[in-house]
Amino acid sequence: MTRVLDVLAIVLFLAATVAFGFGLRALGNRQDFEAIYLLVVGGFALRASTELLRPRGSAA
Amino acid sequence: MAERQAARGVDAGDEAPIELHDQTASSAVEATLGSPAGLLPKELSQGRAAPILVASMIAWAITVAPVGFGRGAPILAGLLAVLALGAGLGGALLLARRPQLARHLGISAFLGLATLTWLANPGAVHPLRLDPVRGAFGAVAWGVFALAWSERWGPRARIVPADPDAPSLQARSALAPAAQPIAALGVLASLGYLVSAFRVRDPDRALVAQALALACSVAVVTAASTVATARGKSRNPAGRRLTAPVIRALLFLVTFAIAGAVVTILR
Repeated sequence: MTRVLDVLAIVLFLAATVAFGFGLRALGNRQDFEAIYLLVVGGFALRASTELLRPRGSAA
Repeated sequence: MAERQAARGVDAGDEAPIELHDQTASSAVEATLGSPAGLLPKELSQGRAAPILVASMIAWAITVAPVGFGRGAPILAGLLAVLALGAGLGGALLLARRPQLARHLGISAFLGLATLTWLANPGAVHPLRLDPVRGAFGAVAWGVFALAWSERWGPRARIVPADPDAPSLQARSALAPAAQPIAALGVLASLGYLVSAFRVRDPDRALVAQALALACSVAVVTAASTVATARGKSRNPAGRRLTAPVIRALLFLVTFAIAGAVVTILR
């Protein structure tokens, strides 16, 4: 279980990294909706990836 | 004769040991500081004078000399530029003998005279006449100048030798697998965001893009360090880490991702 969660944290981190990159690219292409969407999704993915690895006591 | 010898602290019996003592002391001083005559060559070859000298000269050549000797530059600007060069080089050359004076001359006077040179010919540093490439090289040159004058990396920093009898320290834990690639990926991605923000040509969006790129960079580097190091740490007794905040964050992510995808398709 813990190994699965570790892999999930890495996948979420990679997804966030890619989402941020495409979000900034969309902002440069004047696609504001896509940019906001990708940046917010990246933020949520990044938060989820770090929450997965946070010790249980400090997460409450 | 005896009085002269007594005044010099030397007599026939102990002349050799005193000479030996003097030689030892002088060689010790030379070993640490060098003889006054050989101080400058030694400082130039082994000390900090050479990098400071080069850094001052390069910073001066890129940013001060064109202002002082450019087309239409007043004589005062040229004179101040020459004085600035003298201060910069003199500070580096005096570093071995008079460190405090050298810093005043090489840093304070050099910067002050460089500033006066720019003020004496303000047309040369007008934003419309500034060459971006030369400006970037000048910024790097001044950064190198600042690093060259820093004491931190100097050879005179006292290095405490390791105690050979001390037991070797053992690491309490090892890094999780793939920690270094993940951290490196975070750093590279953050640099990529900062570079991509410069590609935004629209002035209205450029500032927003810079701010967002900076925020994304900080967030990704912080998260990369967490993901790289927090894996494999001590688990809770139940071995379960799907706590309420984790589930909430995943639900937010999934909900927003699906909703955004649906809205994008419907548009």
